[in-house]
Amino acid sequence: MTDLILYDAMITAIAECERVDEAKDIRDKAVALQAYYRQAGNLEAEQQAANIRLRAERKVGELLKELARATPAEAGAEGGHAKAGTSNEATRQPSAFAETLASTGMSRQQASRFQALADVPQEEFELALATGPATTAGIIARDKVHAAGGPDLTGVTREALWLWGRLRDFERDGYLDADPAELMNAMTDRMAAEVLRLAPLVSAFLTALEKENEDVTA
Amino acid sequence: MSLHEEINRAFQHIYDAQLKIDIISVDSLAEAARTSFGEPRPGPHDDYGARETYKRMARRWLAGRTAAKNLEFADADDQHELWPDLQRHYPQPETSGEWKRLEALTEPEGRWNVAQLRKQQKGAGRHADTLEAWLDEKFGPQPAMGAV
Repeated sequence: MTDLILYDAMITAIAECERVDEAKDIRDKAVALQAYYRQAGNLEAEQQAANIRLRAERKVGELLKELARATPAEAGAEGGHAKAGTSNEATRQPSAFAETLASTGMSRQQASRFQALADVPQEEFELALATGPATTAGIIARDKVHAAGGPDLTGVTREALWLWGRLRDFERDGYLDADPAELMNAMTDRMAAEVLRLAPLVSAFLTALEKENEDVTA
Repeated sequence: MSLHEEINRAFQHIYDAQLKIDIISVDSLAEAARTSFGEPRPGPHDDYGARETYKRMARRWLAGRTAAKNLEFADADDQHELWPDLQRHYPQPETSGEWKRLEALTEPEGRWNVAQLRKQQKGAGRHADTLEAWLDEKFGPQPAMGAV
């Protein structure tokens, strides 16, 4: 419960960030938290920290894009580092963008990635977080593939991969042609009882799976 | 007999002498095998053992380089991030320990790796099923553990 409150508080803090350094600071803390929870083997907390990091990176990207659009003079008026004056004087000043990167210790490559993350449509971004584990590059790559008319891979979860793989195992390992009676006879009584308990449940699940497909294609 | 076989034979010999002991320590088994060669200074067996250990550690390290498990890859810009469980590098068939970058793998090399992974998975899965069936017979069945 406390973790959930902390998570929500961090999400709110990210949304309220108005400066790049604020969002970048949250991002750096989330990276440290992610590493800590990984060491501790707390998968759920690690994933939450990863999601906070991704949201903070997206926010950094949004703020950087605003900064990139601002002229040196405008940025100076807001950020207080470029002096208003002739255009020559203004262009001699390091841009607000470059100064921000330097002051936050961010590489141009990182900045470009965070801006690309900010370009990913909100719905797609949220879906990637919900179906995790998500990475910055993964979300951007999916978006690029999707934008180019490629397959939408956003929803491929580990659970979906598992189901696909195990159903293929039935075919690959020859179970579709196997003799069920022979298999049942080769089990202990306990094993056979478990199989008889599970078989109708699995069968119902597969029927529901087929039904789902019929509904989608109808 | 190769150094590898000699070391394994030493393990077997020490293990046989302790067959009735309930708990065996990996450390003591390794140390007993190492000292059984009676080499006062690091000799070829120690050298071989150290190299094999480093190789095993290096293999494990390479196999752990996946996007899902490595923060450093969170900043990388690779298409394979679409599939976070993929490794950066995979072993090449019929080479002694050469691993190739995912994007550079040919289809046969990739399929070979799939087959190797399935073999490992099947072996581990069969072992888990056998141990579970044995435990169920001995202690009574438990509901299947774990959830999606």
